[in-house]
Amino acid sequence: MKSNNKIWWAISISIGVAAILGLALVVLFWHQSIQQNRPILQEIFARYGHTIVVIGLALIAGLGFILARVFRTAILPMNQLPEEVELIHSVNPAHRIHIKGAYGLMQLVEKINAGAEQYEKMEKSVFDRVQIAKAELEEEKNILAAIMAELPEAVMVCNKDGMIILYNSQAKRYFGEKSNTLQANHPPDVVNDTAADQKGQAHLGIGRSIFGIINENMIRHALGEIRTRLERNEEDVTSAFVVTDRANRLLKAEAAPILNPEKEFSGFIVIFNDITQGLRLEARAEFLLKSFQQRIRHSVASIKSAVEIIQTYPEIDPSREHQLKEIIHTESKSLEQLIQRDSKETFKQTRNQWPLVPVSIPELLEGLQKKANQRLGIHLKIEPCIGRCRVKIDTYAMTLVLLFVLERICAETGEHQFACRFSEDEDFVFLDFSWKGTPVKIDKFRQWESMQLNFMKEEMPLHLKEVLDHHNAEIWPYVDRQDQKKSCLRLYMPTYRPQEQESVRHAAILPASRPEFYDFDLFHQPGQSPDLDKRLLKDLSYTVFDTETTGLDPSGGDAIVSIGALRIVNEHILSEESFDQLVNPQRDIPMSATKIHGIDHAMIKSQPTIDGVLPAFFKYTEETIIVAHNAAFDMRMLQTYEKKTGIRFVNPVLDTLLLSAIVHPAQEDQTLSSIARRLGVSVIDRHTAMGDAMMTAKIFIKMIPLLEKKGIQTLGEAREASKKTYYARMTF
Amino acid sequence: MTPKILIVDDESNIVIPLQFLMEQNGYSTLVARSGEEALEMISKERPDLILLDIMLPGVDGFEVCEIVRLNPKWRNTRIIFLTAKGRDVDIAKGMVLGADEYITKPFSNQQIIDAVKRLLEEPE
Repeated sequence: MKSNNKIWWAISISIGVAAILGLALVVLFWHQSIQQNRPILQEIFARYGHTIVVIGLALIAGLGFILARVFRTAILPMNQLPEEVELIHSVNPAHRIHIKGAYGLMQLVEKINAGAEQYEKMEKSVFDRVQIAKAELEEEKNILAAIMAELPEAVMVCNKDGMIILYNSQAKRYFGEKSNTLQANHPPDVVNDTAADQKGQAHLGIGRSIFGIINENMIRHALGEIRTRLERNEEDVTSAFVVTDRANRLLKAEAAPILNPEKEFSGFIVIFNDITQGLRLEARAEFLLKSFQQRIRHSVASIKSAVEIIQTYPEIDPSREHQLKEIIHTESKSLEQLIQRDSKETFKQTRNQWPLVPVSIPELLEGLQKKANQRLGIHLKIEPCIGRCRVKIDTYAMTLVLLFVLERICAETGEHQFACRFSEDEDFVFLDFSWKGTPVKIDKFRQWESMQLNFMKEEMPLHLKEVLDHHNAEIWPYVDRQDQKKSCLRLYMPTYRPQEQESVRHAAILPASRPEFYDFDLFHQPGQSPDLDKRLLKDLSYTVFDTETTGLDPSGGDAIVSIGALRIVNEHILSEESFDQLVNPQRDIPMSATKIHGIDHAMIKSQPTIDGVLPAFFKYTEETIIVAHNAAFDMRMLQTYEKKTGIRFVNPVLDTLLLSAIVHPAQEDQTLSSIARRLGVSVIDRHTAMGDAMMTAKIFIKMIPLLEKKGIQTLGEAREASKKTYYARMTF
Repeated sequence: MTPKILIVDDESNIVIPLQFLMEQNGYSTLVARSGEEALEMISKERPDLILLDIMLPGVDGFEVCEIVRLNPKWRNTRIIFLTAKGRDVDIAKGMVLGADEYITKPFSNQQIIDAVKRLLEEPE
C-alpha cells in the first residue's frame, strides 16, 4: 500500500474512533443523569444542539488536522529516513535528504546530510585512489590484451566448468559472429547467423560455456586425457584434437590445464591454429610423392625386365628384341618427364599438421571398449598385447573412426561380440577386430571410407579415409585363412618411436596471490547448477534488454522497431558484446512513437524483419537471466512473435521496476529515469533501446547489494519478492 | 599339362616382358588388362597362377584377390602380387588378403621365375 494511502486510512480511523467515543460519552451521560434533569438537558440540546455539534465537528477536524500534520512532519519522514540514509551509504553518496518535517527531524536531517558530506568526501578520496590503481591495472591489462590480440593463434581461457573467462580477437574471428556488435545501420549477416545456428553453435562470450561452441564430448575427452596425464605426472599434460570453426576451417586445438598453487586443476587454456591449408598441402605432397614413387617403380621394372631378357636370351627373335628396346626407350622417356615434372611441382615442406599424440594401444582400446559397450551394446574382448604397441594418434578422432566402423559392421552383420587382438612389427601396429559371421567386403568398406565421419551426433567434417590418411593409417577387412568363418578387420597404424625430445606445452600454474592484470574471479565460481533459483544474484549471467516499439499495445498489433541488449557477467557490463539492432516492423510507425524514440520509416526500410533478428537475439540470451525495466511489456512484445518465428524465450526474468519497489517501497516514482537519479546512474540516450538497456543494466547492478540488505540473495528469492509487489499485478 | 599363368596388368610395357619370360620358361600365358577381365578369365580358363597388379582400372588387385579367395573353387589358385605399391602397409594388406607372394616393382626376372616355379611345385 502506498504511504499516502496509509496516512489517510490512519486519519480516517482516528476520527472515526474519536466520533464513536464522543457519541458514547453523550449516551452514557444521558443515561446517568437524573430523570428530572433530562428536560433541562433536552432544553439545552434544543437550544445549543447545533452549536455543540459544530464544536464537536470542529474538534474532530482539529484532531484530524493535528494527526495529519504529525504523520506528514514526523511519522512519514521517519519512515522515509532509513531508505534515504541507506541510499547514501550503499549506492549514491552524493544523495542528500530533502525531507520537510518537524524541527527536531529537520535538525536530524541536517546532521545526516553533514555526515553524508564527510562520507562522500572520504569515499571520493578512496574512489580516486581506486581509480589510480585501476588505471594502472587497466594499462597492464591493455598490454596483455595487445599481446593476446597479436597472437596468430586463437586463445580461450576457461574455468574448470568450461565457462569462458578470456578470449582473444583471433578466437572471435573463428567462433564469433560475423559482426559481434550488430550495428543499427548495418543489417546483420542473417544468413551467416542462421547457418551458425543450424550448426548448433552458441555465441562466443565471456561467461558463456565453451561447450556451446565446441562439441562437449571433444572437450570432455581432452579434459579426461589431461587429468590422466596429470595423475601420471607426465611432462606433456596437453591434449590435442581437431575442430571446425563457423566457416568450416579445420582448427588444431591444444588444451592445456591451469593449476592452482596446490597443483589442483582450476581451468584450462585452449589454443587454436588454422591447419586447413597445411593439411591440404600435406595431402597433395603425399599424393605426389606416392604417385612419383609408383611411377618410378613401374618404369624401372619394365626397363629392368626388358634389359634382363635381352641379356639372358641373346638369340632372341629380332622383332621381339626391337619390341623390348622400344619398351626401354618409352619407359626411359617417361622417367625423364617425371624428373622434369618433379622440378616444376612445388613440393612444399609441410610438417604433420594433424595433432597426434603418443598413446599406448591398451589405453586407446580401454576407452573404445567402454564407449562401444555403452553406446552400441558391443562386447569387445581384448586379447593381451605383444610388445609395447605405442602409436601417435588423435585419440578422439581414432576412437570415433573405430566406433563408426564397428557401428556399421553391427548394422551389416548383426554381430555384437567382437574380439580384438593387437601386435606390432618393426614399423606397424596391427589391430585386428574379429567376429564370427558374414565378412565385410572391400567394396563395402570403400563406401564407408568415402562417408563423412560421424557417430551419434559426434562428427568430423572429413571422410573416414581422410582421417585415416592423416594418421598414415589404413583399415582393411579380410577373412581368416585358417578359419573361414572368422571375419576380420585390421587397422594398421605406424608404430610410434620417439625420435627426439619434442616440444611440450606445460601446465600453467597460478601464483598464490591474485594475478596482476586479470580478473580471474570466475575461477572460484561455484559449478553450474540446473537449479538456477538457488544461485546468488551476483553470480549469475544476465541479458539486460529493451525494445522500442510502434506503440504500447502488443496484442493490438504494435511491433518492435529496435532491440538493444547487453550482458552482465560477474556484476560487470560486457559492453563489447552488445546487441543493437533496428527491426523492420513491416507496418507504419506512428508519429507519436517516432517522437519518443526517433526511429522513422526511412531508418528501418532496409533493416531485417523480426524473423531475421529474433534467432540471433535468442542465441544471444542463451544461458542467461533476462532483465528488463517493466519486463512484462517487453516480454509480451517478444511473445507476440512466438507463433510466427517458433522462438520462445524461456529464460527466467527479473524486472527492475519490481526490484526497485522491493528495495524502495516508500518511493512513489518507479520510472527508469527516477530510479536512475536515485541510484546515481547517469541518464544518457533515454528512449533508445540500447541507451535504456544500458541504464537498466547499471541500475540492476546497483540494486544487487540493496536486495542483499533486504535478505534477497538468490534468484529464487528475487523472483518470489517480485511477485509480492504491487506492480506485479500490472498486466499488458 | 602346361601350367597356365594369368598376367593381370594394364601397362603393356610390363606385360610384354612378363609374357615372354613366362613362355620362355614353359608356361602358357593369358593376359587381362583390368580386374573385371581378370575375373572373367579366371572363371573361364581356371589359371594355375595369377601375376596380379594392384592398381587396375575398375575392380583393383586387392578385390580380385579377395573374390578368388572367397570362392571355394578358386581357393587354390596361386596369387603373386606384382605391384609398384611398395609400402609395408600394402605388403601386409596383400598378404592378409591371401596372396602367396608379394613382389614389388622393380623386380629381377629371376625373382619372378623362382617364385612362380616354387609356388607351382608346392603341394596345394
